[in-house]
Amino acid sequence: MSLSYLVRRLLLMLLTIFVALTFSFILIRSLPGDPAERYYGDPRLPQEIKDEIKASFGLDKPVMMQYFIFLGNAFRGDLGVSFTYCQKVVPVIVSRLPWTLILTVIPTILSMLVALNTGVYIAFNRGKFLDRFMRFFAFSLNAIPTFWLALLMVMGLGFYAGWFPLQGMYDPLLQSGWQRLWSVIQHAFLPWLTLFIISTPAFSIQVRNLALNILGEDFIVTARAKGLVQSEIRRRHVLRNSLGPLFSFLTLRIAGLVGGAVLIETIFSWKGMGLLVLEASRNSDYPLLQATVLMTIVLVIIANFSADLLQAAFDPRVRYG
Amino acid sequence: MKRTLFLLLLLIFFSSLFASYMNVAVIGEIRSLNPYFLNSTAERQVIGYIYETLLSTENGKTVGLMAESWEVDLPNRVMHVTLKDQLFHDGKPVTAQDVAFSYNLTVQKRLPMGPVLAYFIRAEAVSERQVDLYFRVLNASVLSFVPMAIPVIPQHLWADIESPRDFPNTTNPVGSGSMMFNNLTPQTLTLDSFHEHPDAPKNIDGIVFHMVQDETMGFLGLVKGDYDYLYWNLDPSLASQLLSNPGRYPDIHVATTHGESVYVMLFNHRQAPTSDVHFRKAIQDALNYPEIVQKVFRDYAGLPYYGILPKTASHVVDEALGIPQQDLEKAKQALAASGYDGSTLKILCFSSKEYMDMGEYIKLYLSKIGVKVELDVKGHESVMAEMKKGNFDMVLTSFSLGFHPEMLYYYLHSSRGILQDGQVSGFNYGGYNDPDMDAILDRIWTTFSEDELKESFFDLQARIKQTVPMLPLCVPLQLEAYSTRNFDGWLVSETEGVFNTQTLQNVTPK
Repeated sequence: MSLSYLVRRLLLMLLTIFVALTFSFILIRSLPGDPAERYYGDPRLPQEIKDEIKASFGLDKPVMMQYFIFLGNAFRGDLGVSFTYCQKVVPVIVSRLPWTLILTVIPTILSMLVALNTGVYIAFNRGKFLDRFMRFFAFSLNAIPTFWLALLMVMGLGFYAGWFPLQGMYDPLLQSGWQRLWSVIQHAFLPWLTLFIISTPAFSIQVRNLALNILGEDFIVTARAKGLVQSEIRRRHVLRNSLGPLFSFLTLRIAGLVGGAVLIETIFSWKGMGLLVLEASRNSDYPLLQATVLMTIVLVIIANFSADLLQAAFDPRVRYG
Repeated sequence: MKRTLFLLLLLIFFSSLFASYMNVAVIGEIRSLNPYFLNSTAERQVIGYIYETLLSTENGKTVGLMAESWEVDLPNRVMHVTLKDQLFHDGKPVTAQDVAFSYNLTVQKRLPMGPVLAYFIRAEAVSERQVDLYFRVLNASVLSFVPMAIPVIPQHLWADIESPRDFPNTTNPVGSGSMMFNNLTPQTLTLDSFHEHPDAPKNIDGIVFHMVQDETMGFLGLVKGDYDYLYWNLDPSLASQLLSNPGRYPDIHVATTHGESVYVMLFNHRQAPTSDVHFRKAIQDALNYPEIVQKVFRDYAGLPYYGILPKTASHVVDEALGIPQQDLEKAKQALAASGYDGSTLKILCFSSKEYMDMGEYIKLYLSKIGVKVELDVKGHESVMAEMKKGNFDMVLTSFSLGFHPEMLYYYLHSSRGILQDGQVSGFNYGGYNDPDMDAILDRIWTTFSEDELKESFFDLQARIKQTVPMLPLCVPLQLEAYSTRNFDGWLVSETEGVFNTQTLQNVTPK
């Protein structure tokens, strides 16, 4: 991967972010009313007070000037103040992001590890009963709506069995760090299990298909001709060559989950990014909504870039430039 | 020495083990504890435990909360207030300076309190415990609103806050309410009992408010024992299941008290046929109110009075006016007298179940007298946008009138229904314009005598019955679910429900 390619990719990333910022500015301004309306909207307010409030939001300035002020602030990391949190939106997002990462990264990585082994294993048993059964099982699980499975988990393991808390992230009355960590694990278990069950079959089928492609390659025939045993072929050739494309899939999936775990977060009352986006749109908190959307766009761009780098790192055949 | 220290540590350890916190589920988020910027129902529900106002209402009457006494100087538009002897949660005394600071901050920083900015000028501390409030406009309604809306905050903590709009107040909110802040996490708010306050809970250490996303999960938590009280009105079908089968969940109880919100149908008075009183009366006579109550609310609602006000506005409600009843013949006659041309009208309604169900029943009843209607179901924001534009024939909505019946001024006074730049300038969305009604509403606003107020409200309700500016449909009951699994001593008050000051002082851990 050449340096000029990296510079080009970085510039392209910046351009995409700039376009996203511009679109979000236009979108917010084209909505009925303005961001300060909730402060001066009361019909009983005298006009001079209304004008004063609008001016304090900079809404008395020409739109182009408002746009440049917005861009300047955005590039300084200031995406405005949330109406509902009464604070800058960036710290709000930063406080929520780790919770979503805890929720999504762990089951995704675990399901990938399981899928890698099961996917390759069933690829080696193509057409046999195990392959047919696993595919049927995977497609059936894939057809289950996430929210339904999550509710089943809550009802079965949380409510009736009473093994896990129904919702929340930890017990707020616990003072010690270790107790709190254990409490987080207890609370996270059901959402983790749900995401694991939902993700693993899809990953397994993905790995199986990848592995089947690899099994048809010439170097596998060579490896067999060399007399390598099945387990060696699986480990050294099939697994390793599956990692590159899988990593791209994984990074994009995690980036998608950051803004997309809304259902799981809602059902388990897990205060992550998904719920934040939902809240922002429910409350017409435009600065927060704008910032969360921008954050998701930036994450997807970065994930895409990282995926390319990982693919190149794992597969020597991949060269960019 | 070592032994004492050990015993002390042991005591602290065991007291933390046996700390008794009541667990209360609230719907939605508590994101900020800035009392001037409350954005969710949950924030409004909890903030009153931390911060207090000068006055409050109790059974429809104004009572002092932080104010020991108050006098109104009407000609000079001044209110003289004497404060009770109280402390903030950090131990500092509440002074007249703090009150003046809190009130002046609202005006100086243009905080989002519309009526306050419109009617209030400034506050001045006269002595350590006396403060004068100066108003631009002073009437009974302003007095019943402003001193009940502005929270009193400690000047020593807020004086340096440059922009209250950007201040979430989530690290150390200090007020003078019955409970003090312990901690706020993304999912819970923990408040401790503030024992210096006369209304503080006596037998529990505090309350943990859990933010939940939906009612079903909250209910499961109540049954499982995670929560002791659900801070929302229970769904009537769930209440019905619980009450009809009490043995299934023996610890769960439902407190049923009178509601203060009235479901109404608004008419657009700017256009025919809804501007015609005969047409409105025809609709009033066509509806089967007991059936709506039974089918939509499973009987957990009261029938409305002609005068709209619910039973909870007991000091001014005129029950003698009676309850509207279905009379299809009378409805057909009224319809014939109106100029209705048989066109299809739209009923705008929110997309929640009870509104849609009510809409369907109303559509059915109106079809029996030959009025064609269609339901126009939309989300909350869209319905509000259409209402603000005055863009509807009829709309189903609800008004909270039990504790503040004077709010009818905003819904019915002609000055509140003027269309300006395509937007209604107040809450009289239908543009009802009746000089007689305006005169009565003006009287309500300017009277300070209880007898005159009652008389004016009686006139108002009689006028509503006569002209039907809006149609009362029903008054849903307040249905609160609580559990006796962890705490005993819940007390149900007819006006305040079960989660009231008496309950908090009376409950004891099991």
